[in-house]
Amino acid sequence: MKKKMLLILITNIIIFLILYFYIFWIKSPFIAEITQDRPIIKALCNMQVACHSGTGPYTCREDPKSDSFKRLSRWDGFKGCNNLTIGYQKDDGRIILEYCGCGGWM
Amino acid sequence: MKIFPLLTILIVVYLPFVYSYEVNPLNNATVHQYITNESILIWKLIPFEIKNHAKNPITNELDSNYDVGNDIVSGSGEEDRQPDTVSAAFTNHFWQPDDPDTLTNGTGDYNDGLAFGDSSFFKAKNIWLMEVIPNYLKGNINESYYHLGRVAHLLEDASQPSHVHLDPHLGHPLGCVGNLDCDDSFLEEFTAQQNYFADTQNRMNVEHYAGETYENKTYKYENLISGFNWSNVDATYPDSYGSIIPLFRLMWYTAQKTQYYASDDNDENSVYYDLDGVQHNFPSSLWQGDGVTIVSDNAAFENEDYYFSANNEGSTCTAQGFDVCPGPTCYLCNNNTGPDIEKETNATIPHSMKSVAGLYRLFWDAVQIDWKFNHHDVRNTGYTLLKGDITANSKNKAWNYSSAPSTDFWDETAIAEIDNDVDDGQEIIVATSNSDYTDGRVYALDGDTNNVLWSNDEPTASEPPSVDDVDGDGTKEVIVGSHDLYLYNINSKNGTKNWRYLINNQTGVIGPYRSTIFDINNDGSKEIVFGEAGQTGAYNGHVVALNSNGNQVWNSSSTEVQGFQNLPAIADLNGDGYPEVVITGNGMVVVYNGTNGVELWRKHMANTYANPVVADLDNDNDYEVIVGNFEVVKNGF
Repeated sequence: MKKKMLLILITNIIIFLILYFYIFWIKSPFIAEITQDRPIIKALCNMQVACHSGTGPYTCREDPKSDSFKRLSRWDGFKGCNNLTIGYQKDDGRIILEYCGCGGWM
Repeated sequence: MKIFPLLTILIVVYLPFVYSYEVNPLNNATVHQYITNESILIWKLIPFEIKNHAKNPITNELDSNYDVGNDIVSGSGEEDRQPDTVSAAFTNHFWQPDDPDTLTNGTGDYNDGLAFGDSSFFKAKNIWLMEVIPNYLKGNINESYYHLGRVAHLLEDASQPSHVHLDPHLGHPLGCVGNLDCDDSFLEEFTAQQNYFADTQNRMNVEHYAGETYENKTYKYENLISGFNWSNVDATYPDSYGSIIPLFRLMWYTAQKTQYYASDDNDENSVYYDLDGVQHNFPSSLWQGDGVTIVSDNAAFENEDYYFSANNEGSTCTAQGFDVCPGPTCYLCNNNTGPDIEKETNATIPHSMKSVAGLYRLFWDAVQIDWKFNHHDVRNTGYTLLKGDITANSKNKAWNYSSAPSTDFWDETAIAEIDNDVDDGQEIIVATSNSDYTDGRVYALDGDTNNVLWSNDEPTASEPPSVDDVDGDGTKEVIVGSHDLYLYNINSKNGTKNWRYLINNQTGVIGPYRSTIFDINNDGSKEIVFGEAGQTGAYNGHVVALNSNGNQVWNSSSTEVQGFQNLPAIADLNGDGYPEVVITGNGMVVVYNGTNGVELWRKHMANTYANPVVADLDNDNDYEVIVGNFEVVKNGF
């Protein structure tokens, strides 16, 4: 019985590691997600290898087809690409906010 | 079903671990794009076409493949997203240039990357060979530039000490498993942080370094180290397209120069090894004259480089919520910021930009493989990186084409890739005329076999052809002036006529002369520029610019007696970002505004005959115009 439990434990760990690497390494689903005021997303971002949640200029485009707009739409603080959104920079049209940046200068 | 409770437990255990892993505000997704973008400003003579393919805004909207609209900037950002990069854990972004001989491929392969990964040079070489050059030759220009951005990314990595000291810096707790190095890179973190400099408030620290500050400091692939004997270190790959060895040299020089600086965990290395594995010193420091302070000992960063500690060793350490360190408590010490990191950044970021500017310059020379015009390129330099098979011992004729009518007296050629099969070599496009200019033809030959691919005998008495993808549809066009007064546009794949343009038909007219193809007004589309030529003083010819449909864009504001019996050269002579058209007429050189054809200046020169050449002869980053003339002397010229 003890041996069986050990086998199940090892199997579970292997499956977990495979899933972890597949989801958080290969797929990297939280790249560029807004993490500001979203602690769960922030935690999931930081679980991704080579990803950090940090503050910086974020692309703001009011194009419904753009990835950044889709992500911004899910964030409560987004009031459009204008001064109503806190952190909006008029000169380069980007928003200073916290998001999931990956890769760095790798 | 038993998996999920365990998974839940593992995630719950892991969450605080990762959640507590927070260093500082980071925006490290866009440093590469910033460097790539600023490098455009360094090479003063950079062609507009390159600038036009580096316009995308710096963005975090990145994926892992080429999409319509992507450019150099996109490619440099997305190299980190490439599946092979991610699955290799970024190990193929590293290179130890002091190891010419790796076990896998033999001497001179320079494929020593991190762990089992290929070197970044090896990867850059492959992208260059498989994507950058072939796509350009096939007319997939946008894709070519996207992949150029990926090579730029790898070159930027070669200017980062960690990447050339094989110092991994995953910066993730997973890397700590088994006491492996889980450190990040202070340089990467610092450049992505904000607010260190007065001018980087709410901006990345890397934005302190503006490309225009380093204007004209481009690394030139043909003159990287004065008097250096490259044959001792050159990679042993075939010099495909004539540009693999120049690419190697640029990247090797960049990496060797970077190695003077310490990384987080490694000290400097200012020597190099030749192909026999013998160590050498450079004749003088590669940083000589750069005005930088070299930080060669990684101990210098002790109080700046962040690290995990079991003890609170000072005021810069902060307690962490989860124990990733040996000992009962974990502290995160230092902040990846400080004067020594600044010194290293002061050197490596400009170094990176100058190197990438050198890559753009190499790219431009490398893709001019087609001998498109009578004098090769739009500046009539006759310069090509491409080398043929001819050696000092070559004496046997490979083939000669003998099927042309014996009346074909004059023949002129262009060489270009027109069947989109890069592997079978280029093709030859020939325009001919009989001796009295009443008959001729245009035909294409396979470069290997001399087989006729197509022939078109509608143009009579043809002038030298030009070959380029004028309308950007992926198929090149052959443009040829004919003495029947028409300029012909011929499909290079099948030889059919697309359109023809009738020039100004006055007394004494000969016809349209040699043409140059270039985007002369920066509208993103190419134009055809040529001179109208006449036999006698009764004929006054213009310079004419046509768009890809054969409609006139402009007629030059001035004419010339007997017209212009030469090939125009095109270059941005005055540095205003817009090209000018340079052409020789009857005893003078004339320069026209490329946007509207208005004459800017002319210089009288007796007996001017040759095509003008535009080049930076004295390396002062300004162009000179070179024109040949002849003087009549006794019994000849």
